[in-house]
Amino acid sequence: MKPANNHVKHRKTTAKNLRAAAILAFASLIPVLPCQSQVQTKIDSLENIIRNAKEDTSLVNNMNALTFFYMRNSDYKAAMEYADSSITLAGNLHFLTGKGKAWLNKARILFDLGNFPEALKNNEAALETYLGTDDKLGLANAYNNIGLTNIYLGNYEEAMKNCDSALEFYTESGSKKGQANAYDNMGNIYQYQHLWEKAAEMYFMSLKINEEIGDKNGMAGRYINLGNVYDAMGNLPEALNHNIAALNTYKELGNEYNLAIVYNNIGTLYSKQKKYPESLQMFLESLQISKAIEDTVGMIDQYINIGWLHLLEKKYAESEKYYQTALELSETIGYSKESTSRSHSNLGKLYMDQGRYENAETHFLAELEISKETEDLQGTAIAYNHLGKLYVLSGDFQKAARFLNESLAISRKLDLRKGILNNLKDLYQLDSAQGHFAKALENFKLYTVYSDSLLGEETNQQINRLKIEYETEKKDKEIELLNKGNEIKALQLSKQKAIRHGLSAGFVLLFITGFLLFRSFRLRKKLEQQQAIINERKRISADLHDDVGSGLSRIMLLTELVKNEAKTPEMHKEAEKIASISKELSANISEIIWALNSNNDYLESLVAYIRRYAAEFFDDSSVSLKINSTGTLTGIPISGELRREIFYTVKEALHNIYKHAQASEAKLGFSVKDDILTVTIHDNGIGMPETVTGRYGNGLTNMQQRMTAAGGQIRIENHQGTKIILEVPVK
Amino acid sequence: MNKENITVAIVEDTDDIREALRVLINGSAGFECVHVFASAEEALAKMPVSGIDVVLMDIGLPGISGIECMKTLQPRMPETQFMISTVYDDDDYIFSALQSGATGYMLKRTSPAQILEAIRDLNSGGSPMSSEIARRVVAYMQKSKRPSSAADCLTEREMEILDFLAKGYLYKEIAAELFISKETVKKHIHNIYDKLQVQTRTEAINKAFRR
Repeated sequence: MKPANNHVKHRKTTAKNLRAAAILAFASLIPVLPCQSQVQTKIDSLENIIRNAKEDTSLVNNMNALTFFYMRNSDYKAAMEYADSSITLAGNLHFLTGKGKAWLNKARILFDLGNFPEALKNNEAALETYLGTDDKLGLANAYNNIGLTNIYLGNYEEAMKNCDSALEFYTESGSKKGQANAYDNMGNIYQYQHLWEKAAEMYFMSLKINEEIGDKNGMAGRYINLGNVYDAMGNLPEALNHNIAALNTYKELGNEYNLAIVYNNIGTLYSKQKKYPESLQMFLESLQISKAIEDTVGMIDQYINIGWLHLLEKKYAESEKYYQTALELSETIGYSKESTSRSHSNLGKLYMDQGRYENAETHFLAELEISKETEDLQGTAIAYNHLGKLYVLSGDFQKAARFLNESLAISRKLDLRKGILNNLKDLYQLDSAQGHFAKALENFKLYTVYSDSLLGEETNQQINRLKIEYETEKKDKEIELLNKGNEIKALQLSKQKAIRHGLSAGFVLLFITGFLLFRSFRLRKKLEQQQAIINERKRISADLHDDVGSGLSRIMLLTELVKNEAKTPEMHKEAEKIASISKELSANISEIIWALNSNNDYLESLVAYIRRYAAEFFDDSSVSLKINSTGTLTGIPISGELRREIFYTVKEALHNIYKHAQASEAKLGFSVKDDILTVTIHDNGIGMPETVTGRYGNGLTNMQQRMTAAGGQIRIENHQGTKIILEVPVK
Repeated sequence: MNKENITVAIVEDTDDIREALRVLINGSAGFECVHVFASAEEALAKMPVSGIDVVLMDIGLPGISGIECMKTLQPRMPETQFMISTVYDDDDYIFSALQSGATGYMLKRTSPAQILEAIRDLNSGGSPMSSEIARRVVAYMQKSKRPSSAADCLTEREMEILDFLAKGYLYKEIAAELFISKETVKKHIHNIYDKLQVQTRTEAINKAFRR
């Protein structure tokens, strides 16, 4: 068992970026950010100034400045006092812009303290105040901060509206920095909604403005954002490029802390590309910086990452060393129980992998203890599951059953789909290991139901995304997915309805769930089988293309050269023979590849293909060909095997006409009625002899066999020539 | 250089195919192979911008792909026709090659005589189109709602031709059905490919602009 990829710790990149955005956005209130000692000097001098000051607008301004500096010193109490006094005084003086700024300051304090609903209210008060003024920048700031607070509250639509207004007023007031921040915030909103392309668009706008005004910090931040978005879209090369750009910028700026984060990101991206040595190097760089700036949290993260990399490469001793260090460090600084428990979890898995079950047990139990201690129910469920798995492996089935059931119960309570699924899977494996097949089956059924509904949920999430993408134009295949999703939705709706009615009539419920269960199970099996067939076909087809196809082309070209240089007529003839055999083989391969290509799995494809084949076949002969088709042929799916059988049967018939029938005319007809495809091949030649022998006879037997394989039948009539009628069910 | 000859450049990484093609082309009356390149990189660096009628471009090149190479070369060489040569008759590859500037394609399994015919055909303004590709073109053009100008919409005649092709009609049969010459059918198909490329470029620009 291997730990999943997400065990590489992503150093809270998104959360951190958001925080960075918040700081930037709020910082636009006062453009200069002095360093720590300067802040204290500022505070002292401002305190001096206001001690005996008159109650006028400049006092308000000074109190606002003081609020800001106290905030910078994290003295929220003093900051709050000045903010309140400033609001009151500015109110008395009808000094609206000063009052607006004071409201914004107060909101910022509440925001920093994590009280987002109150922060929102104060920001709204600021907005109302600024609306009575013509201070565009103040207005923009208020909108911006309302938007930002709404992001934290998860109200993305509201957030977007306000950021949009903020952008408008920043543009009017000519604040480039404000514009860049507004775009950045909009990018964040899209990113949280997983609208990657739109997020990228916004970040690019922000990046452009930051470049324009030479704001390196802003640029580097956007590079990271873009890197994350590309990563999420699965475009790892672009993700890397942007993180490398961020890396260079932070190197230039000498920002060690962020450098460590970027190294971490790059390492993570390399690990996704399975470039483990490169990944390791990056994590080590990050670790080194974290050590140098004494960022223990950063160090722990890298120890975990490096431990994970070693585990992947089965370097158990190395891995163990790093995880142990991570564990010790997290315990000494008492930092994040979460990371301690994760270290235990990973160490446990590491030992379980090696079959060192006792060591594994110790760590899983520690994981369990911490999770219980921190009242982390999800973590508890995971720990129980780990223990359950371990006991299955070590053969202690009784304990295994107890822990897995415990984990399942919690997962059910929390409605953790993945947890339920994992435990059901482990349980049915446990049951079948013990020979309790009836119970195993029961759990397996439940498992399939849950995995279906999980699948459905994921599909629905995807649909929401697709819907929006579709509006801006997208591919056909995605529309298909959408339809599929609607079907699933409809199915789920009908399921819900059935359950409601079922309360009054239990047996109805029983019947419907039974039916749905059966159906979903069958559907899944069928889909799996179809996928397997498609994959196999693709493989064969690729092999044919690559090896046989290109080999033949070389033979044909080289034969052509031999032919040109042939010294005797015999040699020329032989070369000609090779050429014609290769040509025939090549045509055969084309047919096989056509039959294997699942894009052609429609009746119209088959008819078009046969049509063209027949037309080309009789093109230079004395037989004139007429083709007609009746009934709608579009939209009827038909499998590769069926297409192949039908095509080869028709091909055989056409060859017979050419070779034996002495016909001057041939008619080829297609029609579909009541899900039966009828193909008629009618020539005006000498008709079929009473007894046919030799290759001709073999050909007829072949046709018969093919039609039987296709579940259809073949009739041969002697009627003014030969008439062959193929009937194949196509549903 | 004999002006009467069709001048051909080959971009192909397999040595004996490249060599055989060169000998074949040079050994056939009316054709002249003026350049051979073993990689896209070499072609991008050394391909002259004029004096070449047809470029035979392998899709599966190591390094930069044939499609990418063509995307860069095609705007530089407006007088030149690009013919993709591929072992894949997978519609996906061919369709994206056609979108990227090819007006013709040949399968590597094609016999030497057919290769020469395809080059001659392409040079005189004709383009091959299978029924699968025709179906794709129809679907693609219907889906894109933003032609860059009215001239880039498919005409009724072009739609008719696509429809016949999708049903498996030969050029000859289409010509007979529509009372036009086979050459005219070929010209129409060539135009369809041009429009397909304009459409694709427009979409690419729209996408780039949105960024």
